[in-house]
Amino acid sequence: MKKLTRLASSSLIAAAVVASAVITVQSQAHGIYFAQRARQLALIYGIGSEDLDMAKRVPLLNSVTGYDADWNPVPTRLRIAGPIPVVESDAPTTAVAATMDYGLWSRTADGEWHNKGRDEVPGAVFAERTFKYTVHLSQPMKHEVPLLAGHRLQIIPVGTDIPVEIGKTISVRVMFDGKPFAGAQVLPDFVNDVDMPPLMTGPDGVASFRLRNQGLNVIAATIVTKPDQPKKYDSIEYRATLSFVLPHAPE
Amino acid sequence: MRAPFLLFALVSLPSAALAHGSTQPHHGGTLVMVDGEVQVEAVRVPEGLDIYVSEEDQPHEATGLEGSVVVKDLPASRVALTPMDANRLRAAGMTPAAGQTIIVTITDKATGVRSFATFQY
Repeated sequence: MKKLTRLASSSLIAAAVVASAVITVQSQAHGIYFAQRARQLALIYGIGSEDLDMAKRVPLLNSVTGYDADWNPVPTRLRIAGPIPVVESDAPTTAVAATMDYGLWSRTADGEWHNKGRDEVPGAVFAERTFKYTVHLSQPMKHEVPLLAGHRLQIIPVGTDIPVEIGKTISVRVMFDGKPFAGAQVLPDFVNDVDMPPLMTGPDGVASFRLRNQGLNVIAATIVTKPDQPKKYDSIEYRATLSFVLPHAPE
Repeated sequence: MRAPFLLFALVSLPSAALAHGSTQPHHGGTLVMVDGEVQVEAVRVPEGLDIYVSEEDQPHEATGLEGSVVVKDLPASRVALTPMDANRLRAAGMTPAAGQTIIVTITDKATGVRSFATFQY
């Protein structure tokens, strides 16, 4: 399959080398994720309970893809429905995904963010380049989540059995450029507890934690690396989310 | 009681147990609840397959819907749905065989909201 690269075996090397490039900065914290809105699957831009205007940000998306249970592509797109973009596919999907290049952002001393590089913002005290990725699982998995084309940072559940009860432990592996990433910051609950101290992935790129919600779970992973254009920005932030729903009990 | 619920959830993670409205068929067919509150009932008839659509037990006007029925993995089998009366649409000539999976696609023309209902024969 052209678009997909199967998850490599778990020989977990190189992660430490990549991790050494990580730097810590204060950066923008928003992410993208899929969640149900009015019966449809919507793409959300936000953090915590903030659900910001994703419709105007749709042009920043690089890809929106859908997959069936065998991870074959299903023609999928977004449709702007009032203030939110919703997923529209030609057939049922087991998973959907999106990637976004959120561009260059510089912060000035007054705390304002500007959508430009440091070289274009006099007095900038910090500048970053940001990329956002998301994967949503809407059905039980027959196969492990593969590496998806275009998702430089991706959260992959270990195995195929995501627990369906709150409080059960899940393990996820954070992959960067196809390799397990040690030292990624992981937030188990990006919607309801975004300020908790993040977990860090181990040498194998894995973090384990208890599922927080008998409902929507949005897990976030973030890495920040050194810039490839230091005159324009100080760092590059990659943020990936993985979302899925634990169903509630019968009414 | 969790155990039976878990088994059900494995079958249908996103829409499990989210029923708003009856899950019993009203026309002698098979009913599937989709998106938590849309009831889609498929009924074999001599002319093909009739599809009844309701939302929280309220019949949805068939003329306000459009869609198709297709046998999974057989795209050439796709048949457009034709409004018949009330909340009934028809996939003329669609005769699912035992073992086949049928996917019904329904789009609300007013809102653009699309739903999928899957039936196993």
